[in-house]
Amino acid sequence: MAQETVKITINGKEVVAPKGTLIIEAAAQAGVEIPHYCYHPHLSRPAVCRMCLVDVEGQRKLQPSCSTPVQPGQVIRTDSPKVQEAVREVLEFTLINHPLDCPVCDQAGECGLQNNYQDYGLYNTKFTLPKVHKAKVQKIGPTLTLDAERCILCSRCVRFTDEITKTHEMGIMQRGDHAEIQAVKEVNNPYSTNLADICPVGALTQNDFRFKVRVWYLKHQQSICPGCARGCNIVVDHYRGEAQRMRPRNNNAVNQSWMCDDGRLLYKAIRNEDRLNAPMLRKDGKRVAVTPSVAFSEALRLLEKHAKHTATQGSASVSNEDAFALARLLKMMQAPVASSLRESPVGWEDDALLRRADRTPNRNGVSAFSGTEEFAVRLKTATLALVIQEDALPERSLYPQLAGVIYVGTHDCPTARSADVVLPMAMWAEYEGSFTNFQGRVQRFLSVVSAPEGVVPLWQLASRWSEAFGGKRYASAAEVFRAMATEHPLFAKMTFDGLGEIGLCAPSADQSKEA
Amino acid sequence: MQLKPETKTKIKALLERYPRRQATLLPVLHLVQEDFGYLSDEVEELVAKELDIPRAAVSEVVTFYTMFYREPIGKYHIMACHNLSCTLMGAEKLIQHLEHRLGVQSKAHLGETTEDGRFTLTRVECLGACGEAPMMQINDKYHLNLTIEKIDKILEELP
Repeated sequence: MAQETVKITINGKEVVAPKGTLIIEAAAQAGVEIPHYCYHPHLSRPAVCRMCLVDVEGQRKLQPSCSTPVQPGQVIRTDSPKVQEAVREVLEFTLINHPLDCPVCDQAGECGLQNNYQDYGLYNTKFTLPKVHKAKVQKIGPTLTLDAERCILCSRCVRFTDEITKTHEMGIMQRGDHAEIQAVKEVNNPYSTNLADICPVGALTQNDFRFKVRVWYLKHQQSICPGCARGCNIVVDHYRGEAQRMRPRNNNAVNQSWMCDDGRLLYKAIRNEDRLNAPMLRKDGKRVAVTPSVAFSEALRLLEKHAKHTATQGSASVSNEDAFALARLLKMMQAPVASSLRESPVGWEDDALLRRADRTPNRNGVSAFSGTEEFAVRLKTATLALVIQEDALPERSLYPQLAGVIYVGTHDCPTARSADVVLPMAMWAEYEGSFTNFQGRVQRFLSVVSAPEGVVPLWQLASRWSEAFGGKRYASAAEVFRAMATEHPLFAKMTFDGLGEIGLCAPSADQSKEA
Repeated sequence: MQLKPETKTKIKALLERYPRRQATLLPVLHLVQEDFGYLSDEVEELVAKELDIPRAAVSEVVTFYTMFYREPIGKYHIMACHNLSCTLMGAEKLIQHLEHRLGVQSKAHLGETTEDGRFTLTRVECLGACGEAPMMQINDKYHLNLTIEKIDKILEELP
């Protein structure tokens, strides 16, 4: 069914928008930015901040564009002197009691007040009376710090805790000049850090990130959270080769504008002390560090020797390209397909918002390249074990017939400690690839920081090994994806670049799971 | 701490008169304040539970209005007007007299309470009796055309 559309004019430009669209949204789609604080696409629209006022021809008063739907033939101006004067005066009021402590405020650089003041502000304040002071630096929960003085009472945080998490921690107390946001109880819900994201000013800041690095030094990269089967769309902010912060990116089909607090801290695993940085070989019962080429050749020697008798444990944490390249290698070795995937670590349940009980990012994708037999069963007859990422073989002594164990993973674990060859592999933030989430949506993540020296993703290792068995070596994740798309219906008609910012759902994927 | 059974019955009746539970907050808070004298954190929780609305919504309303008290007040709440008409008619002098006589500091919103817990002295804005300024309100009663002598007499005659 075609959607009914409405024709309007914004700043002299004709715009066609679906019926019921708000003026602010229609303007944004037409590339006209309207300043705002209280409006958020995924929250209710109280129209309290009055920043988004626009001139609608025929209406005597300016209209809040965040709560006025488009009407046929509407003629809207966002740049008339009347609008600019109104916005300037609203900003002046908003700033009356603002402490203007930008030099010591961690929001500086991504602050709605600073940004709008540059564009619309009045540079000579008329206000000379003492400002009303409010409580500063309040730790209102494990993830958040509240500075009530900086708050402009947009009420986004109140609406988020009322409408999204339904935990109702925040409220606007007192009135008039003295009105301030307060938490009536500890803000300790699993999505609390989103409050720092949606706060347009420096009132709510994230404990984990505040004062770590000034935001104008940050670089940004599009990625996917690897924390659970949801695959929240995120941006990773990085500085000097280190990931500093993960924040959600809008994708209405997956995570709207949100992500959970646990997901946000996953960047820490990139530089975790258990991280495997260098390849190792077992010599006389001890592990010794070797160069990547030595470890690679030793692993290849084992793979060639045991080929058919290799038992493989795959991982639901690796990318689609990794799983595909590994499956191709095993096929060329004439080894059985990778055994069934291990259960997700326990602790979470599916919740109403985002979090999934399955805490692996790519079970849906990798299972397409895995068998159904359990690894433990395979091990009984195999002579070589190839373990990817999982701690699947903590007690090697149970399988005396095993002549070799190869471990490819990101972090140290008992399996890695008993392996003959340990090959570190790149983590999600260090290479590009795709995950398939629980809805069957294939989503692309890009490389944020570089992997430790000599460390490459699994698909590269697998494709280089497969050369020895007569296979072709892939040059890029996009090339792996192309091969995968021709061979597997889950990726049919997709291209790596075509995944874009918000991913694609295979036509065969279960549409009923769309959120 | 519990709400009185009579109050609960009254709340039930109120809930039927309003379209949304949250809309009953004002009359309910008045009822409950009458029972407890003031609205402590604990009482706010009780009200939120009784009405099945978020605690934050209750706190927002309680802190917004000056006639809801968040701390204990005296048996007699003296609300002395210091708005324009009363000030022109000498309200400042009367308030100073009250402060001196009771030994407390008057304040806007909620003033100090005497040590014996008998009086709280608050400065308020216009109560709409300018024709008989200066004036004050003690609990629910207006006292008009005040003088120092009249104030002394009123206070002495209070039970």
